Amino acid sequence: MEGSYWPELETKNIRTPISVLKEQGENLKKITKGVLTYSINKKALEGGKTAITFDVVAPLIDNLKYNLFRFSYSSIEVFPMLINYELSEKGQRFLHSKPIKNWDEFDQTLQKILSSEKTKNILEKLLAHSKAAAEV
Amino acid sequence: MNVVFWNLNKKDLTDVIKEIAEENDIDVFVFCEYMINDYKFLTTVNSEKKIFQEVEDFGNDKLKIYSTLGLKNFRPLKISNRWHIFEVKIPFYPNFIFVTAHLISKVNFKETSQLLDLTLLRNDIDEAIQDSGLERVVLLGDLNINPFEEGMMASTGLHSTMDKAIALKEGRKVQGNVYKYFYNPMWNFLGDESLGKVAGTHFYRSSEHISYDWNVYDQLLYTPSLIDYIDVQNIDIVFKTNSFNLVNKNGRIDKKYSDHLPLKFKIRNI
Repeated sequence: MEGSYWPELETKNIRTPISVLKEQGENLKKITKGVLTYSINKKALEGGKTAITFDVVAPLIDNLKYNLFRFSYSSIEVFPMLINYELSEKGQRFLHSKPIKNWDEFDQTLQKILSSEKTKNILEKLLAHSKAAAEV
Repeated sequence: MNVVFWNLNKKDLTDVIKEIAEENDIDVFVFCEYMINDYKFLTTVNSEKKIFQEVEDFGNDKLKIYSTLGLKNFRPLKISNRWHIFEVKIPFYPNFIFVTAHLISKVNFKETSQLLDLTLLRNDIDEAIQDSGLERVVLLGDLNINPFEEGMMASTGLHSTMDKAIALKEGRKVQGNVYKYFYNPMWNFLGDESLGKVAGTHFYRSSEHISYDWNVYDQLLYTPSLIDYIDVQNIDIVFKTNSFNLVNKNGRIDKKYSDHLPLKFKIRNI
């Protein structure tokens, strides 16, 4: 017999954490009219773990990077993953290290981080400083 | 340039800070667990001789920097929850990357998490070196880990050494990859007969079988290219000022102030 025994491979419809982050990063670019952009970094850690960091980037302030959150997982099976982020609650800041079991939890946590008061405060500051830098 | 780092343990210690500033001619303060009203800080600590200004933290005040050396000289490269990275270019001093950090604690996180955090910190430092084109790095902060622990020594962590001669070598090869060194002078501050007048920067008595009691969690590390500019003899743990004793009569840290002692050092000019 001749030819390939491998199946036809399709990756377009497979959801990955990076594809979700890219989508949200593009949304950030849209709502800030490109004044703020983003950077996603992937790093292989000891013990076969992978860490992903999501930074907001401010090109007008010399490409300052602000890390909003990061998460790590163990294998090609993305879940369970551990997501680290910080939120302000009742005037106090809490560093969260939350285990995530599935896509629903991932989406909920991501929404919580991105729509939080803390993130809003950071983005507004970065926008204000970018505006000031552009006026100099 | 005289620099002090202090974990304030959320206490208002402006009067002590003012004395530290005056007695040691401080130019840069780095604080963590800072909960002092900024107006109060500036109006108390600033004098006719020195005017401190707050370095912009872009909404993340977990680490606070005050400097007398001009805010434009601190260019932020990366801000994250646990560390801030600046490019510092001050006339008559070597240009360097300034990393301030308050890392996760063993109280809330496993040691494995600490190790992973240090790997990510190292990654961000390497990225800053690449982005800025600078190779000199000063890392300062409450690392919540002692100089001898794994994350400080691991090739993929901070990869620090207590020996200048080793630090000055190109790096160490592990599995085909070369890892550069940080020099960690804080090894010289472990124990009661070390360079410091106290046995560490932090005291904690655990009820477990193993308790170090004294820790050197507050650390200064630098790349070998700064060895000529930071003399180990100019690094010290501050334990008293003219009016305040930060250690009690038993020689332990007086928690009336903070549970950490300040760490000071000097960067020589060019």
